[in-house]
Amino acid sequence: MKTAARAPWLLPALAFLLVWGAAGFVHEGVHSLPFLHNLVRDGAVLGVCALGATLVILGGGIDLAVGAMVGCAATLAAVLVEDAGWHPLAAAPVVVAAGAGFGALQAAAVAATRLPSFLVTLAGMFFLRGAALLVSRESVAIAHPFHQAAGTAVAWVAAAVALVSVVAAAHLPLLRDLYALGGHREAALLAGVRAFRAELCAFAASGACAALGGVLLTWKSAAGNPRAGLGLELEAIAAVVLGGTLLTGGRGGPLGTVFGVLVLTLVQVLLTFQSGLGPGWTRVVLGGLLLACVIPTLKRL
Amino acid sequence: MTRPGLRVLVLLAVVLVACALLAPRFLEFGFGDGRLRGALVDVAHRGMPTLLLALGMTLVIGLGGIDLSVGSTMAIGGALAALVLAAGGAAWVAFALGLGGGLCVGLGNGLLVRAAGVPPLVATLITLTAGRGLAQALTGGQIVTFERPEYAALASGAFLGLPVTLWQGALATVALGALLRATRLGLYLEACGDNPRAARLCGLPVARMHGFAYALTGVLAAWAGQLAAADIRAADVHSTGLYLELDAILAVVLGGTALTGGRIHLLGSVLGVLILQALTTALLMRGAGTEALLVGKAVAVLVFALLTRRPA
Repeated sequence: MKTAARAPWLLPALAFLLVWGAAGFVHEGVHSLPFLHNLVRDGAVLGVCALGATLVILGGGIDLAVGAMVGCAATLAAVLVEDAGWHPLAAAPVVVAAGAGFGALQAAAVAATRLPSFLVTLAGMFFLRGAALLVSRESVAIAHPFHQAAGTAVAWVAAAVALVSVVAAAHLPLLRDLYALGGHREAALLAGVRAFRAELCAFAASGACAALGGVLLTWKSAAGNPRAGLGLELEAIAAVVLGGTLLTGGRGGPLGTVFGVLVLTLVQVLLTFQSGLGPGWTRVVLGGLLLACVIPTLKRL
Repeated sequence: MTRPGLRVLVLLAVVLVACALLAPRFLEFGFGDGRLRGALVDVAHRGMPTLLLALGMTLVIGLGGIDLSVGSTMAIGGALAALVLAAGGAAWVAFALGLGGGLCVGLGNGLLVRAAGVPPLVATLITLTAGRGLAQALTGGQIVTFERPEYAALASGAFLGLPVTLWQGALATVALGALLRATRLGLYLEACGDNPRAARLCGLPVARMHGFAYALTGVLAAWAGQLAAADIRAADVHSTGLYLELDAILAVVLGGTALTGGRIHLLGSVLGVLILQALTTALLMRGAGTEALLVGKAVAVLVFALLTRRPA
């Protein structure tokens, strides 16, 4: 348990290597670079969202608006490109900035109402889902030539976000504030941690990441669907927890989340290889996996 | 009447007036198909599945927990019942088996939370994910339809001039209310939610209280799922109860039950459900789409939270 406490990313990393190693003996081509590239591409949207969610969870909060944000951002990006005639690369930063703004609003609402963050972001989820449908009722197909080429860039963008998060987690003072708040809020406040500033940044980052997830989704699928990202917030939380971050905050980090996302995506890919198993069993296995990862991290009662 | 009770009553009145202004035909009544008709009756009728969820959720939240899995439990309850009906089983067997499925999920939640010590948010997140998967696996991902009028009457029948769903909701509320306030159960639950450590030191069966609350929530959710299935004469494992856990939680919070646990306002939750459903019905009558509905609900909840926030 000592290693788990010092490097919570170690267990998920081992789990990934184990599953990946074992899968190679059952399915051909799993131990190859193209497979890994596809894996990162498949997990890109979830990964980017989960990295943002990691910050919020580290600080002891939770962001349930992630999935709805993906749908809303994807629709907004698609409408900007298709109807307003923007270049996709111009639409992306605007959408991401809007996501960050909405995240910051949620943090402000948490501070103003003194409600738990899961409730405020629950309302945020309703709001964004509604807003996405107000932007467009139907899925918007994107015909812009950029989207034909952008599919391969998705994996690299996700990898870059992962790298930046891991490096930032080790060096930014803001992250230390979040760890302190998630570890023991009262103590952190008494020690002079500026809670509102840290939480504002965490929620804004989560919003921006989820919006980027939505943009990546339009790059991948060449369409913006207002119903996209259904239940993604739960998958993101699952990936964060799989990655060894405590759901109560204070321990864990982006590196674990990276491995959590990889394990989750790999298991989903492997389950689709087993053609006999429907999406139902995938979810059951997902639940079991989540449980198996949570149990060892619990404090004894 | 306690203060939060008064608050939610005032809120309901305000919402009803607003609804009447939004949709002029909101307060009209009629009679047809052997029962009272009208928007207000419809509000109650449509709100009953959410009400059943909210009743259980009130207990769980009163204990300081949360149950995110109720939507998936609805899907399981509906799927089990529909499978029995499609195979030609008796309606009561279908109903009982559906409730039994809900009981199992609820007991599973209780075990995870109490025996394994998983935080309720995570435990029920797991059952939310796995539960809907299980429902999909049970039916092979298909929508199971059935033509059984005696079972469909569960949702569409009428009794003494009122929809039968209303009677079920009232029965559940009164029975649970009596159980909470006529026995020691309510006091015990609130004590366990307020301060679990103190409750244990006083000799209260804290673990059994959790087990009871989650199991009951599971049964009520499976009941709600069967209302939904009987209503459309089919079990739709993909969309039954999707996001309904959020409606239930919002209703409980509107009703004045603190999310930190320790207080149970059963009637407040009933009124909370009616507030949410009245808003929904009025907006639908006005021709608003689901998108405006979602935005409206979100804004209403935040404004309410700002108005009723506790002092620092």
